[in-house]
Amino acid sequence: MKGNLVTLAGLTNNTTGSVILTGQFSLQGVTTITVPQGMKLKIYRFAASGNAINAQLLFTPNINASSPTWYPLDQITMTAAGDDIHEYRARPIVVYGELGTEAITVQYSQPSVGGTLISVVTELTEQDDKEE
Amino acid sequence: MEIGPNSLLIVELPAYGTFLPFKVIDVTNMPYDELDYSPLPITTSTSLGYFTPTVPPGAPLTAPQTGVLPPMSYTASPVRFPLQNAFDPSDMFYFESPNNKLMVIELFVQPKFIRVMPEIPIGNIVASYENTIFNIGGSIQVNVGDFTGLASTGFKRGYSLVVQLPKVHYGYLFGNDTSLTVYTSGKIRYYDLRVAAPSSSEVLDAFKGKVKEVEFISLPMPTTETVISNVLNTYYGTTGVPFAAVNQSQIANFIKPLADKIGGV
Repeated sequence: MKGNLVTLAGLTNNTTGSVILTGQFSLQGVTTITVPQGMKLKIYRFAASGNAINAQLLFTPNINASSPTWYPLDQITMTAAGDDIHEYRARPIVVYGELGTEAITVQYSQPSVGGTLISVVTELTEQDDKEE
Repeated sequence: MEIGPNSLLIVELPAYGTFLPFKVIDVTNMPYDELDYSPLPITTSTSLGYFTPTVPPGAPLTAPQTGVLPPMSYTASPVRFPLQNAFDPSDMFYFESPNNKLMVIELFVQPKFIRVMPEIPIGNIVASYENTIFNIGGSIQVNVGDFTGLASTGFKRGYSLVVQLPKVHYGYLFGNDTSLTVYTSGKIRYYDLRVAAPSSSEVLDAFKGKVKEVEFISLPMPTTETVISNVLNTYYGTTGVPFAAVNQSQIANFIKPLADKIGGV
């Protein structure tokens, strides 16, 4: 099954926090994207645009834990206003939903309040092969 | 999937241990076989269940908007596809005549990760083993055909394929086991078939792999259902050819009542 390419994006609104991500199909923004059991989340692009920021793309194996442990997948550091795009066309970052509790989030810190757009291009597909 | 005139359609009924063989005479709606049905018929009165052990705080018990499924929710009762001016406006797939009509219905749901499970008839979940918990090696438990379990199986994501029998309402369950609140939509591809009873040799050849254009579609109801039995007997004069009927003369015996009802070729 081919999945849906969905761009999730959100503007920062503080000096630290988690980005509220919204995208196509999505009625409300969320700070975590879970991966259902038997599916995988492919991440093709992680980008920031706007004010200086340190943004981390993070993964947890168990979003249901009382305080989930987050592991880094990627990081964007901009010391001044501008753009930074990390693209993975041939080999996307893949998060497998083995238990249905896996999730990603984007956390950030920045010297001034808000003003940076964070976007993550994702595809949620079934785990028909695990060789990627 | 493509179904064309002169092909065979083998409808398998595992609950009965039988199959119904049909020869496709015509596909009456070609090439106008696609219908965008958006949003999915989930309304603000559709009650929701949740894949989580308890209902999340603040989560709505009915769909917040038409076609919308909140995070980790599923339709707690099956939905039908209403369509104005259909034979039954509450269920566009429902039909009663003619006897030799069959519908094959493919449903493509967006987003593609939405869980889809048909119920045949409505209220009777489709699965090989309904609500059975297998205890594999005493260590792993898998809920088979239990739609409501987070780790259950027996559903497809974004897709379903059924053969619509006459005079039976089917139902559909939809589930969203992601953290997103999603808008749903669907595309329906349907084959409005006129069928006849095939010859026993054709049926035998289909099982031997000698027939090129044949579709085997199972209706995996876990148990026999009175509604279905009545329809099979009324419309086809039989509940099907037993899987055990492997030789031509036996198959011919079972096909005869079918041919009497819908005609043979």
